[in-house]
Amino acid sequence: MHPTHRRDAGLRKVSTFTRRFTVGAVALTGVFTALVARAQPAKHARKATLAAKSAPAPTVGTQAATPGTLPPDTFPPTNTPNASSAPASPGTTPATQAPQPPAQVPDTTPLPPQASSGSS
Amino acid sequence: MTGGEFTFSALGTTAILLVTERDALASAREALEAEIAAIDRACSRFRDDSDLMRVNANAGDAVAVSSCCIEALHVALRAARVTDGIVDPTIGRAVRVLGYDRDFDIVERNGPPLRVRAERVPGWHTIEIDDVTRTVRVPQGVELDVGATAKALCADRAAAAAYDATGAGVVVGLGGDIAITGPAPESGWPIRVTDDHTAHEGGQTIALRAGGLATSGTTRRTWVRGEVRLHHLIDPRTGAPAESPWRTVSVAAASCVDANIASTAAIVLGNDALAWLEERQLPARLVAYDGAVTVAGGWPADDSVDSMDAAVR
Repeated sequence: MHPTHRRDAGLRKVSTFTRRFTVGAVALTGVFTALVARAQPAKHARKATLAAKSAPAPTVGTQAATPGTLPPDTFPPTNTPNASSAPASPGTTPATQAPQPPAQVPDTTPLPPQASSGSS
Repeated sequence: MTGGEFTFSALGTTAILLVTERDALASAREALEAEIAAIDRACSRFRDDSDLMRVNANAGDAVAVSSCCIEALHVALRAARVTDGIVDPTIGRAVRVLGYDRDFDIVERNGPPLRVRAERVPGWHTIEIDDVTRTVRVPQGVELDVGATAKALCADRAAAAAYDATGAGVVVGLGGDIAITGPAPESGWPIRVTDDHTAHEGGQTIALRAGGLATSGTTRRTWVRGEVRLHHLIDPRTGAPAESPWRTVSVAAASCVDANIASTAAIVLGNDALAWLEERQLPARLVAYDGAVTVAGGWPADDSVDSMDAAVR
């Protein structure tokens, strides 16, 4: 075979290989993307479910809005308060729960006050 | 007692921190200051960069906010639901046009007459919260004010955080909103209930071991326009300051948020307050304008006539 023909044959082989490789790579990318997409919705659903559990259902008219960029969360993390001695945790109070009485009603005391509750 | 105490200014009012163990004071203070900073950034009506003010300034748009703001709004919405709208966070415009449009320390106490039309506030149903995207939207004309619940929420969270950090008994007081958690002293925490949380006399001293205590009143945050005396507790049904027979209502409850919801509702409910409080078994002390004291829900009897503190006459 003439050297030029051998060269051209070789180039055709490389071209074919490159095409097949590219097609294969695109196909694999599509497979990986599908796998990741399948995993992502579960995470959002969990977040939505957690949001629904920890907070009341969104109010009337809640829609999927254009959020823009979420600001960094400035809420200090806190552990769940000791249930026996802490105030009812606001974050987990059911949305329709009426104000609850204290565990013990206030008592009279002869002691001088250490704090004041008055209008501010 | 080997406890500790710390008093400072915060959220436009006075804050107090009590702990049963002096060693716990530093950590408890750190927890309290973090919560105060968070609620201020989220809910202040007096800083343009707060989440609340950005929502108000961008009515019609979904505004991204902090989780603190989201929680504060859910608490405010709960308050509206359980009071049938008597405590409502859409009073922002009403309170602003009546003159309370800046930090109260710089509100003009005596000004010319106002020409405003008082009308029912838009209502809590107009607020849209998306918990997934953490956005809030209000329609044009709606302005939010979570003053009835945000400070109490901060007190509850700060007390819980301080207890979690230290294991000590904790009292957090923010402008008279009191949250108690952890192991209390044997005889309880002695707390004065009065018209003005800065007063050093008058009122009644009671002991509380857990939960929350809040006092709402019409005599402290008050100003005059023309010859009309106004105050900050807006009746959502009218958009005007509540016309109430009570000048002060103190309520004890399972949390400071619950106490504050109830004390605010009681002022607005007026003559219906006693039945409302009794039905919910909420201990309460109600003071009429002539100083006569009425108690409900098992609150310890107080036969005194509560003379108004000189500072708030």
